[in-house]
Amino acid sequence: MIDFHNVTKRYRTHSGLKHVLDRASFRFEVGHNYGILGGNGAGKSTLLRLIAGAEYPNSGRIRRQVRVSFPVGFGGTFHGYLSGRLNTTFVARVYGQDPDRVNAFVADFSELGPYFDMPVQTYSSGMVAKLAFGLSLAIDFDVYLVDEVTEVGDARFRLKCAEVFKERMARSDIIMVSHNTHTIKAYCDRAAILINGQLEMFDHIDDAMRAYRDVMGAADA
Amino acid sequence: MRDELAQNADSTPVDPGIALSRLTEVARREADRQAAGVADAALQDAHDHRVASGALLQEGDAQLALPHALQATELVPGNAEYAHHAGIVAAAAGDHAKAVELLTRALQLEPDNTHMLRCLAYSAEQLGAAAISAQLVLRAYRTEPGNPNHGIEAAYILARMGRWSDAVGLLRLVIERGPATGDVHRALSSFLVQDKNIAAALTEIDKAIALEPTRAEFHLHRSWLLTQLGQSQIAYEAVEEAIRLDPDLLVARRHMVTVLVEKGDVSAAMREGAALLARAPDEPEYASCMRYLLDVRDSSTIAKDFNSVAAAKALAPPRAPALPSSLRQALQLQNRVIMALVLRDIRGRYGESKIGFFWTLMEPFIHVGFLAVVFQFTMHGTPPLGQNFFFFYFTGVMPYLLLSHLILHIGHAVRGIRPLLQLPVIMPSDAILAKAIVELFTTAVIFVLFSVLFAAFGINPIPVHPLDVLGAFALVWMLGTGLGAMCATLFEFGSLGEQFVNIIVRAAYFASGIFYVPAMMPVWVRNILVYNPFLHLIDLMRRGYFADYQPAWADVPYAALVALFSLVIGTALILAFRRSMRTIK
Repeated sequence: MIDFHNVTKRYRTHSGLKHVLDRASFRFEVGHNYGILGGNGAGKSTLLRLIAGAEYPNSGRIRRQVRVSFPVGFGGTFHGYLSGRLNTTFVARVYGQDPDRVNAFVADFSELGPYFDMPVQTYSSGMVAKLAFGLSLAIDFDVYLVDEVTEVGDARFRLKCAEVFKERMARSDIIMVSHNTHTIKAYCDRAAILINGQLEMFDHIDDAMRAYRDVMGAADA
Repeated sequence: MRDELAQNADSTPVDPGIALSRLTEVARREADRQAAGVADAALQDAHDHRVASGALLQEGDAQLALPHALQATELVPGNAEYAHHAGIVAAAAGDHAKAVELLTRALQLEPDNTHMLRCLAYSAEQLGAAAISAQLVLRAYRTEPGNPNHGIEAAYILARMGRWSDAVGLLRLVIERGPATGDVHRALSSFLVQDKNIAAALTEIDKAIALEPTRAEFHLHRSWLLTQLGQSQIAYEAVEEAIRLDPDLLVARRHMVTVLVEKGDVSAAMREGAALLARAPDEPEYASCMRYLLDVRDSSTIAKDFNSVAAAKALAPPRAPALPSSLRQALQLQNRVIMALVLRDIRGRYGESKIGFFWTLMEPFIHVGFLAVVFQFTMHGTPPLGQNFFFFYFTGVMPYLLLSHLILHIGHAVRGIRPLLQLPVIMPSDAILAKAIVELFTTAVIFVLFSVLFAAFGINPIPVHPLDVLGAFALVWMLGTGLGAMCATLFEFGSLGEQFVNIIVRAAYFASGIFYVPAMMPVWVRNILVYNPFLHLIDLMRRGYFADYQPAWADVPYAALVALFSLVIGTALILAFRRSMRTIK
């Protein structure tokens, strides 16, 4: 369970103060996949970092009773001089997981072959993405945070990711942000809309889709 | 003259310029006549003015018509038609306050004139009195219940006020009273949508279509409602019908794109969207629609691959929330994070370049060797303490290297691992502690190498007071870590602080007795140098190695206090700025 209580998050842009959350209270319950919809610039990624704990709110309280992942596919932790294996070993250690198990999973999942033991700086961007995805999935989290499923690899690789997620669904949840209703619908059983500094929760995903369409003015009456 | 005007009024179109000049002429003549005080012609004049105003209004120039209209109603205030007309002209000229005044007077003369009521309602709404406006139109509808237009207009005013359910009720009354047109049902359908009753709105638009099956817009609206209800197949058929009825209705084609996306046929939607954009290439809405479609195409391929995840979640059994972690677990976590950072730092610092690693080890040896060789010649064979130049400089350079590396490397540690701070389990303080451990470890390795080297050359590397040497290293480590933590905070605010710290660290090399002992300095210089806590720590180190070295000025408690103080301040700063350090700059 992740509980936001009276949380305010704002940041300064060149066009003035921007409120991502304005005294917002909401809760993500265990056992559901949440999709967070919001237009461009609504602050979806900032909200995801708040959930992760990588960023702090200006005021209010966020309580997490679960192990929350870093955004899935985040490769910013990789050290270019170190091999893929040493990089994944590091993250495995930080999260207190058996590095051997994590490395075995990533080696199998990311399909890097001999590159897994080469410095990450020799990788192509696609290889880095695969390594990052594999690492995210290798570590056991209660909640996986997903920011806009980007194009990772080909269709076959994506199916593999989906297989792993499917298998995890018995013990882990997903919180995903996207501006796209299709991806949300594919992953999530609940949805929310981030708008005007509030997160409006919907128990049924179709209600959220309809409300989102109204908000975005996609159709004309 | 009347004929003149009548001719003007009737013969349309006329050249507005000519008409105008003639009318101005008329007006001038009349002004003359009035000035002459020809009162018995008032009735005739009023009529002339009324006709002139009517003609000018028809010409479309309400501004010019207004004085005539006002003149007419002023001359004969009891004529309702004149007041009514003047009200219309005033409204057309944009003077709604005047229009309200005139029309109210007209209504007092003819209370049941529905046209006056409607005109007054219009001006009232323009003045912002929508509620009064609605009441006036409703009064018109009560007076003339057989005219549905009054009811429809009243409903529209209510709708514009946001009173959707009232508007809905009124339109239902209109439909009940008489044969309603398709437009009434269409309007009711719109109001029902606003009243959040999509199902009822669909019933109404069906009735509208039953009455007028060839109205493309009705079919479009029906399609939109069906899309809202998620019935994309019927919505598709409806919008197809709309396009068949009116192939030039671009909004319908735009809606077709939406329906196709809803149906999941993205490629058809893209064809439709491309055709739309080809028809109106300058329309930004169609361009952004196309952009949206490209995005949808990408993500829907992805979505298809991930479709099973939501289904799997739906089948998953409920779980209990995890328990909050204890203090012991938190400490274990921190311990684990710091050790992982230490290992990563040692492995990652030099990467593939073995020369880099070699240089880190060689730097202190070259440093000590250089000092020893230079001073061996300048000082004629005897070091300030002990018998061996190499050994003397070793006791000064080792603590200095530890201190300067701690300050500079810790200072850059937070910036160096900023991407890692996106992992919430890693704290800025972890990075600093890990760096402090790495530096201590590196120094220990070099220290051991030096001792082995000295022993190999027959110099006894075992200190006479090992606790002093250990204490000196411990205090240098505390001092350097504390100062480094302060620098890490300082360096967050730009590069000026960095340059300043670089200068201080260089200066410390000369002010700390590394290649000399403070005894060699003049007393007044030494009295200044003793404020440097690091000087006392080098002296402590040398006391550990040289039995007969007992400097009178040495004040280890002072140095220890400064070291402790810097550690406390540094820790406090790191904790205070931990939030901003996480922020990606």
